Amino acid sequence: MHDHPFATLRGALLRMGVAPRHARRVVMELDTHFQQLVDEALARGDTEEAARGAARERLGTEQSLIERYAGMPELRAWSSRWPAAWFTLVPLISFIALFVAAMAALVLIAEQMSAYLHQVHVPAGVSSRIDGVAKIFFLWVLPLAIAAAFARLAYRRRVALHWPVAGIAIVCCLAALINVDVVLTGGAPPGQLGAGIGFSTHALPGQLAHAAAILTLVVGPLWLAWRRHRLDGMTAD
Amino acid sequence: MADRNPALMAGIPELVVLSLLADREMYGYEIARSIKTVTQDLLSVGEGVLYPALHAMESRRLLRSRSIRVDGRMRIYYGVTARGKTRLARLTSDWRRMSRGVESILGSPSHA
Repeated sequence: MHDHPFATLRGALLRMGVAPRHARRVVMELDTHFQQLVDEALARGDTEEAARGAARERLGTEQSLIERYAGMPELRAWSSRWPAAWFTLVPLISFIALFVAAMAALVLIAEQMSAYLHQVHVPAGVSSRIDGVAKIFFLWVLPLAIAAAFARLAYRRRVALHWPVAGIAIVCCLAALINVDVVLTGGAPPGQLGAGIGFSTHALPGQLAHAAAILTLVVGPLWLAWRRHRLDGMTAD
Repeated sequence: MADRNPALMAGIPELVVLSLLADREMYGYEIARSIKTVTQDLLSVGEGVLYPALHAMESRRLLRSRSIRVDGRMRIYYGVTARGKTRLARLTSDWRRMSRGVESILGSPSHA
């Protein structure tokens, strides 16, 4: 089996902040180019080993490519060009936007069902379960999904952890400070839907526990993956 | 290609690539081979570093690309965009003017 001439290039480019599509593409293009150079040399009568050596020489070293990419900021990912903004503001804006969109969807559904709801009585147990599901979705699933998405992005782009962790912490704190109430009773009025954001010393321990739980669930795996990646890198070196 | 004298060579890789691709689409290996053939090895290029240059030109919308699978290998063909053609015209004109200027100096009596 032959060694892959650019096996570690993609990881190196990603760590440097090169946009993943460019990193993926250059490795693919170099691989095609390398194979063609080898074919060309074999057709001239070179041995396989000589052909591969000549192809490697013509393409240049990984280091020369890395240096060339370092001088091209336009090929770097946005998350690498502006990590502070990307990993703190974008998760926050995403959370708020998705929260508002999901609330709007609930209102729309309730409006569509209003004629039906006026005619029925929703038992207290069912209403309470609906409220519970809404709370789980808005205050746990949504922030967890957004935080996990940005943690995954941070890992894939190999960015330093401090900005992603700060962004995830902001989303966790916001989710912990929000309250959501979905009360569906049926009849007239058919129920109410409410969401608010509040801070009180009375609720603080619960809110802190809530934020810490989401943070741990997301940052824990991110940190472990990051640590494993660094250990693998050190072993490879 | 740009390593020998960065100040003098600035813009030349772009000019060479744009003018090669102005006639037809090519993929990386083909571009490198054309540079060698057309210039009869006068311009040597580290073939690997051609790709960051192509990607940068594409991100500046001077080039467009499309992928085609040939014999089980993926090739990315590059072609010149309208913006690339405008840029090529400007670079060509700049190069000719500079070249004439340098030729005049080299051909002046003090250099004879």
